[in-house]
Amino acid sequence: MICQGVLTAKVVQFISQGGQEQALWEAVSTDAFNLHRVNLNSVMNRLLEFSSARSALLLLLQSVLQSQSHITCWSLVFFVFGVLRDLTLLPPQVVLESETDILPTQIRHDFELRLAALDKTIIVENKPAPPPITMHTKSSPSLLSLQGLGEALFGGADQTPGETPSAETLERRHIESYMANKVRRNNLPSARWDIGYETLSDAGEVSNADILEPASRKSGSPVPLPPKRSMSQVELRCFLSLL
Amino acid sequence: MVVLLVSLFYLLRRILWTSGIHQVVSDTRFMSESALYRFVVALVNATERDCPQRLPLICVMDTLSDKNVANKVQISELFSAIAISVASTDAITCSSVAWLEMLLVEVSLRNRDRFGAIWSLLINHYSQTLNAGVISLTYIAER
Repeated sequence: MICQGVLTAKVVQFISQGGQEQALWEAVSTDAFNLHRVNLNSVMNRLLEFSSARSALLLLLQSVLQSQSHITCWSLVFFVFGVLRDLTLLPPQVVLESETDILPTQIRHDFELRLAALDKTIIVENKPAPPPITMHTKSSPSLLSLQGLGEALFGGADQTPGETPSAETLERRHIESYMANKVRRNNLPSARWDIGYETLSDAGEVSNADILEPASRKSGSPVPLPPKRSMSQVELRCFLSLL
Repeated sequence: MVVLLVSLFYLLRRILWTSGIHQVVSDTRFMSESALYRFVVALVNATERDCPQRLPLICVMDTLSDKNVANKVQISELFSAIAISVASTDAITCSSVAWLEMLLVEVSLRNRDRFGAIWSLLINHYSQTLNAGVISLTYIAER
């Protein structure tokens, strides 16, 4: 896909033509077949080995950022994003869960209140209904008999088979099923969305060098790193021209 | 050679981190409704990876209306080529699919002022994935 340089030429054409939708469609569809054929290892190898692959990828991302409204083939973009996430190349703030709430405080508060009210409604609806008033049948002892009088005064000794379980029993069953589900969930193979990004957390709180270089590498041999200063769009374009 | 590759990896990561790729989701607020709809359709299809064929086919379906009759032969060839290529697709991992699901939530919340434009997509998606079709949810629980 990318290493063949076709995408580069098409994306450059797309940008030079002022973001025409058809040009981008042709660009991505031409290379979509190759893109869907590759695997992660080959993508990584190509990105590392070929400068044209890097420049094509960056140009594609730039065109996505600049012409979002003109893109019809977002599925390809999400595929590229997924590949980049798998290669831990995406910024941590995109992958990791943010601590700040997207919803404003007022809306969040209103939402929580509505949820609480909904919980109350569900609890009331799930309360066991009072036992229905049944007529005494012929088999039941009469109040005039000694057994019937005793049951009427002190209650029956045993539960009938069709009687609903008590609230404690229901709660215990609920807890048991919850714990069983939790154990089952924990035993499933991990597919967290932030797997591989845990060590890259808090991008804004640590320096770029700390983010870029894992802790395990700090004690090892020195590796030349890019400057710590954040790169602007102009610098990025200069970098692309160097590639 | 290894050191060079490691340096290249860090360099590539840094370039991507500073390229503004994180703005893709937040900038959906400035999309038109039709563009947002296309965005969410692709995102939903990417998360429902039971049927990976939908990924490229959506691309073709989006452009069918733009093509004239003379291009229909090319489109059919395109379909067959896609069908062949999809058979050898190495899909993204489950973790990335889960991440795309998170993106869907974030995009939906960031565009909550025009929820109606994407609500039909969301309710179908969550009805299928959460299997909520077997029970009837209340209005608030549904949301």
